[in-house]
Amino acid sequence: MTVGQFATIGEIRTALKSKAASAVELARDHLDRIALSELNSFVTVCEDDALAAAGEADRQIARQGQSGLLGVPIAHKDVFCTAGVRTTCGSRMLAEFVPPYDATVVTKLRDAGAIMLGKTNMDEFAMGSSNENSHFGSVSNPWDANRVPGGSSGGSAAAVAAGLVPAATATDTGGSIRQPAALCGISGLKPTYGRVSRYGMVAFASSLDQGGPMARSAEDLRVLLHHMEGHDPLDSTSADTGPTPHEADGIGLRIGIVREYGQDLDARLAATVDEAAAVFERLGHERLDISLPHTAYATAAYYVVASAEASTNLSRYDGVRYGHRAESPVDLDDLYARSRSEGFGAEVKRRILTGTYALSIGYYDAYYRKAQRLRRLVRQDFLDAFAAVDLILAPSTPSTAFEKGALLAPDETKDPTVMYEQDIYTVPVSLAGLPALSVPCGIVDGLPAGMQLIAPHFGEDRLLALAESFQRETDWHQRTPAS
Amino acid sequence: MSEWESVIGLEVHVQLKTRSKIFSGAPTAFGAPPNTQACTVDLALPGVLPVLNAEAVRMAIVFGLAVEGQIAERCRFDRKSYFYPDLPKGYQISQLDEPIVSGGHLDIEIDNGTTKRIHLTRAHLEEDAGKSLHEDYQGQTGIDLNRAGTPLLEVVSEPELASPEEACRYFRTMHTLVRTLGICDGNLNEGSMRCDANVSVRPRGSLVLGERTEIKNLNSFRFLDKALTFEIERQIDVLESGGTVERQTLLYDAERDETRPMRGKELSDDYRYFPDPDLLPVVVTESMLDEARATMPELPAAKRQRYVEQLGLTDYDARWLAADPGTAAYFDAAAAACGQPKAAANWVMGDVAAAVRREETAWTEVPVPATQLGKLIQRIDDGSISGKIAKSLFKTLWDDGGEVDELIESQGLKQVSDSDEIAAIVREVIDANPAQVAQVRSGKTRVLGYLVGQAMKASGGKANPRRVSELMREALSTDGS
Amino acid sequence: MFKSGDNVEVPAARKGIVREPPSGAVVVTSRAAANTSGTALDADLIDKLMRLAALRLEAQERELLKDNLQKIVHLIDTMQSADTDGVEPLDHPLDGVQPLRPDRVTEAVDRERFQQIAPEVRDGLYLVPRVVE
Repeated sequence: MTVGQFATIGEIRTALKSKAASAVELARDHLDRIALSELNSFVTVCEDDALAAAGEADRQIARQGQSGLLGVPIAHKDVFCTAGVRTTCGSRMLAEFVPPYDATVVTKLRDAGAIMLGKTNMDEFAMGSSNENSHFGSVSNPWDANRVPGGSSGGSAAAVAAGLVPAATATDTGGSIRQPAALCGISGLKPTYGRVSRYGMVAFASSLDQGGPMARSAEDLRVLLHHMEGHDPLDSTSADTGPTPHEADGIGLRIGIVREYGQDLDARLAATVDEAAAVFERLGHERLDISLPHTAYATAAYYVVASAEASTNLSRYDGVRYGHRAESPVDLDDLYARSRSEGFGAEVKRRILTGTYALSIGYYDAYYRKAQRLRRLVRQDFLDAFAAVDLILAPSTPSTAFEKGALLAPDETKDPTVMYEQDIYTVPVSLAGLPALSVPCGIVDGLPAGMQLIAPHFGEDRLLALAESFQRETDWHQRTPAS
Repeated sequence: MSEWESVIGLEVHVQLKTRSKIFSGAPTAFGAPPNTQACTVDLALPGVLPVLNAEAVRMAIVFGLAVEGQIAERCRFDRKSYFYPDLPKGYQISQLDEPIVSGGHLDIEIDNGTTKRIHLTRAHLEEDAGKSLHEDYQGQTGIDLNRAGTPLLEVVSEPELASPEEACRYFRTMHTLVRTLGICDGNLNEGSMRCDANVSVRPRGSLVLGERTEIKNLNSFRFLDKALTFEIERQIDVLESGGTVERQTLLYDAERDETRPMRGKELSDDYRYFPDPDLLPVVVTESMLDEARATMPELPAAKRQRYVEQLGLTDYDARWLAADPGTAAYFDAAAAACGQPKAAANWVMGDVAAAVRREETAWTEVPVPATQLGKLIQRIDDGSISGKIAKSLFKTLWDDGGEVDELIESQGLKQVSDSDEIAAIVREVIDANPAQVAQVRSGKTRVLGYLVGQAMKASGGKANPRRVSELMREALSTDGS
Repeated sequence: MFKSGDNVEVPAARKGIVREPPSGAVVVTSRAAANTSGTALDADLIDKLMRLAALRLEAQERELLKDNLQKIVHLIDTMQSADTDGVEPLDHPLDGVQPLRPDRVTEAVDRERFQQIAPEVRDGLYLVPRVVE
């Protein structure tokens, strides 16, 4: 066994090709690490299925060699439906839910030969920025067990950062890939809205949700995106633009720095992003200041839109066809109210009620419609900016990983909107549907810092090319938590 | 004449007869075992998504063109939220602000053949809900989601219907139209067309609308008539006794013949409509419009006009034949086959319609091909067979099938017009009935009919009756023995 | 892609079905936007939202939630100071068009399998407490 705990997909593929490791050995090895881990990053581990699939992968490798992701172990965020494997979405509501179908992303990665080791923990229904909203308990950050891994894809981020899997799927609605990737010191990509199919991904906010990969390098993100993306006739909002090319040279680009993003930022974090900008300048890129004037409204607009969509997306959980059902309901109202109140956690209830409020008579124009108007202005800010620059460089988060309970007290008495501020740099991108990735760009007080690169719609190629060039110049992405 | 007048608007829900659901690839067959036509999308399992059926859009466009409404270049789907067990997602996908069809009109026939133009507000696409089965399952209700996701076109009229009769006429006219367009099977007993009626009353001549009530879910012409009649009476009683009509949603109880307030939870005071983020704006292109125009059949009003003006049918016959697209299609084919529209109309409205009623056959499944009926009519016209023989031959064709000319030949049904042969039969009849012959000769000409009948009988029905009558008359007047 | 010419006015009045405020409701429109900062949630409104969302909470949890919601409303009210006059709402980040699916039956319905995950079924029907029409 010559594959290290923190091997990239590229290294794993090389090992499989050269028969230095077998898929079964790899799966076994990772499963053992998962079993020993105390991060609580997995909700479900599929040991038997994974070993069987790995055995089949080894037979295929013996027959025709390694290709694609054949034999590469991965994990799926528990938001993606997996036929025959329970899919909880971090909720009591779906604690026993076993879907009869696979999400398109799951099918595609399986077809590419990836071996699913299990399902990762997450904030309930992907609502949260700390993974503390999970029915299955909080997840620890591998860099400091007392700190959160970020959210909502906290399980995937922690698992990749701790070397439990080389890569994992995740979803990003307002920052749920980029923020935990930053807090855990790994690379995460939120593709352009519509690039990756939403079919079989349990919906949070339909016009914002986007699946994407988490891995240890931009190069790995590219490989994973290649196997996740593509038009899907089962998703009306899926884009029909063809695969992401691999041709951007990433030379002489104009990189924009957002003036409005400085205010709430930890100065030491700001310094890491500044250093990254200097790296880009050394690589021959130009640095330009840009303005995104509606940034201040983005968080509010995002919480209105996302909650409005969520309030109806979550209406299907009524205890009738699947999911949690209250014991001995006395009547229909009782069945609905108790099943839902027992099945959903506090943050989910808050979002449902916020969304219900924003859509209700008398408030619709002032909140929902107003937010959608702001959404157009926020998008326009970016489109205007991209007339002057090729890419935007920004921090991923306002701070490094915070302590568990710091923003979300167990008794829920704290202001829930403080947690929402975690997403101030990621939410505008989500509203605009742009592709963005977060890669490590420094260490502050022993904790990873992340930076965001943002591209125009369907500009993933350029985004990845620039991140790849950064990772050739620096080694922040190779730092791992002390074990 | 009453001092009150009623004002009625109808919302007709037309089930579009697509093969698959509006947003999923599940089948739409009626009468299947419960929950065998509901796929993951119809069951609203987590993570599944709607994709719009092209055929439902085409059908809505065809309807819009037929009623001369405006087809939106861009329209949108919205979510309408309420909790009810037959609504799996907790919201219905419908169209609020941007329906696919706006405006348009439907002309209905009222008394003495005049028409009244009823304007349409809009027609929009939406999905149907499932069914709650209220039979007792140990104190529980059973939910069947087979119907969930079936495409509906909801057609909303302006409040321009003045009476239950007009409302029924409107509903019938709509029924004929959507079946003629081929977008709905029109099976009322299967719920393929249902309507909600908005009704108010006001002092005759008043220009102000009274407070209205809405009667939900009326699925037959008779129930619509009875429910409206009851509700109008009820509102008048309330107003005349000094009360006020309360705005409410009602159900019609057919057993008791009364309306009563609906208590169900599908009613909400706030449906929180907003654009469905799972669906993008629908764009109706010029080529979609062209395709719809190309598939547009002849509309009922045009059909009636053609029957009267080009085929020379009476207004009554034209109306009767055009009222049902199956009947009209059968008539058109038979008339074309024989070139005699009037005779074809008589047959279709007579023997064919009687058999259709007796055998409870659909017009599209009449076992006698229209071309065979046309041939039959031609054979009467050219004197090959008598009308009487033709009637029995039609029955044979209906029961056993076959080809008209072959049957005439093989069963020896060809009419006898040969004078010598008929003269011989006449002779025999005269000889065998001396008493009746004497009566005729004494001036009781009515008895002549009896003798002609006997001659027809003796010929086995094959003799040409006109020729028999002529020769009989001749024989009795010249034969003076 | 977005063109500045897309900034057309909001759709015309809603025809046929009207979003009517109930009598006595506090009607907030974007024109009255400035008045919404400091919108106070009263008990009736919380009741209504809970009913619409089919949620039910114990008194203590409810108070806490009301307090939380008030803070969220405070956050989202910050939108009201933005000038959005003449800006068309954006429903989707990309200006796509709805794809149309051919009218074919493509889904196999395996009732047994689908109902294995159902809390209560009989004779193929999902069961709920008795519903009165």
